[in-house]
Amino acid sequence: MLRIDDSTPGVRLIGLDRAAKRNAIGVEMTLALEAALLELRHREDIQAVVFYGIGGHFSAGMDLKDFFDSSTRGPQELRRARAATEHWRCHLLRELPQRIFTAVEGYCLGGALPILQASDVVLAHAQSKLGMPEINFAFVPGGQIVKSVALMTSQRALSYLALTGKLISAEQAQRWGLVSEVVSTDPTALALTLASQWVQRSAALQAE
Amino acid sequence: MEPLNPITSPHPYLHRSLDDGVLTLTLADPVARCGLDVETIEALDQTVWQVASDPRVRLIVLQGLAGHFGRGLNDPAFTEMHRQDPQRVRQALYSLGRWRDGQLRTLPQPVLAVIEGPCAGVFITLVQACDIALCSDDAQFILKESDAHWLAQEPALQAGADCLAARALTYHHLLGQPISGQQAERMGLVTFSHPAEQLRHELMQLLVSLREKDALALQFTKETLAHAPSMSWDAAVNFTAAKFAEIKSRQAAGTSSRAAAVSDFLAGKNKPGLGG
Repeated sequence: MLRIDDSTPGVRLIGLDRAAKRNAIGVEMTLALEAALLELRHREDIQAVVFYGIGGHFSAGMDLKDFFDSSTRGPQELRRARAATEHWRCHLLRELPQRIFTAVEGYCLGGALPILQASDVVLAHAQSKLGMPEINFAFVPGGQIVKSVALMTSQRALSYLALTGKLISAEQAQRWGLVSEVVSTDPTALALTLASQWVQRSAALQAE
Repeated sequence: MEPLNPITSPHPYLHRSLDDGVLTLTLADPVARCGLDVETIEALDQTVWQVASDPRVRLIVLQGLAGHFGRGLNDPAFTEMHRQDPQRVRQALYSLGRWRDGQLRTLPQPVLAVIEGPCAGVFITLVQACDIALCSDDAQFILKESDAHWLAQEPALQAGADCLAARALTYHHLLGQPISGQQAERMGLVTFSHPAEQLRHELMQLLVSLREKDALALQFTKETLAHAPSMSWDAAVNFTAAKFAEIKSRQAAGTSSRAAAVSDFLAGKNKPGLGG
C-alpha cells in the first residue's frame, strides 16, 4: 500500500501504492499510513518527507467501497480503520517534526486533501485535477476535509469546491492556495530535489 | 384562481420568480438603481424565512435589474423612514446583519449572487453572505460612506467592519477606487469573474450542475461548511460522524440518489466528477 524509500540522505519518500484504484485510501492503506507516520515521528535522521502517488495519480480520496455503503469489512475492522484515518489525518500528519513536500499528479481528491494542507510545499503537475467530489455521490465531505481546505483557501473557493463537486485545474488550485507551484515536469523528482536541498541547507545552518 | 404564493407574490422592488426549482430574486428599484429601502429589506427577509422550509426551491439566485446589482442602501428613503419609525429601521438593519452572519449560509439551498454593474455599500456584505458569487469583469464594487453611517447604528452590523477592513478593501476605500470584477475574484470577494457576454452562460451551466445534486446532501454540505472550519479537529470528526449517520438515515427513508450514484459508480457506469 505504501512504497517507502530512504535512499536520499535525510529524506523519506512515501509513495501511495494502489495504482489500480487511483490510490484511493482503503482500509489497508490507512492503517499503513498510520503506522508509517507513527514510526516517522521518532526518526531524527529524517528531516524531510516527500508524499507522492504511484501510477499517475496522487489519490482519488477515500475508498467508497471499502469505507462506506458497500463495505464488506466487519464493524470492528471498520472502526479500527476509521480511528486510524482520523489519527494520521488530524494529528500525526500535523505533528510530524519533518518538513513535508508533496507531489501531485493526476487526481487529488477529497480525503487526500488534508495531506496537502499539512504539507509545507505542494508541487502539482499542470495536468493534475483537484476537488471535493463527495456531493456528486449525494454525500457530504467530512468535517476534517472541509476544515483542511478552509485552512488553505478562501470561503469562496471552499464553497465552490464542496457544493459543485467540480474538479479544478492545478493552475486554479494554485490561485486558490492549495498548491505552491505548478510544474510541467515530474513533480516527484522536483519535490525530492527540493527536499534534499532543504535537508542540506538545514544541516549547513545547524553547523554554523 | 391560484392560491397566493408568498415566495413569488408581487412586490414593487423585489421581483421573485420560481422556475424549475430556481428561485430568482431580482432587486428592481429603477429610481434608486436597485438601492435597498426598508420595505425591500423586509420583503427579502420574509422571503428568506419562507424559502428555508420550501422544498420546491432547490437554488436561489440574487441579482439586480438592468445592469445594476445594487447601489447600496437608499439613503433618502432610509432617512425618511428613520424619522417616522426608527425601530423599523433598526429591525431592517438587524436583518441584514443576520443574513451576512450566517442565515444565508445555513439555508438548505445554495445561494448564488450574480453581479453586473455597480455593487455598492451593503451589497458587498450581501455578496459575502452568498455561497457562490459570479460577476462580470466590468462589475464595480464600491464602498459607500452613507451605508457605513447606517451600518454603524446597528451593533449586529458593526462586526461587518471586519470584512470591510480587509487590507485590499481599505486600500480601495482610501483611494476612492472601485474594485473591478477581476480584482474581486483575486481578493476572494467573488468566486469567478467572467466577460460580461459570458456571464449568463456560466450561470446557467452552474445552475444545471447544482440542480442535479441531492438536495439533502447540499443542505448537509452547507451546514458542514458553516460549522466545521471553526471546530477543533476532534470536534469536526464527531460532527462528521453525526452528519453521516443522519444523512444515511434520512436518505434511506426516501428514494436515495446516493444509493443510485454509489451503485453506478461501483458498477463503473458513472464516474461523477472524474470525467466519466
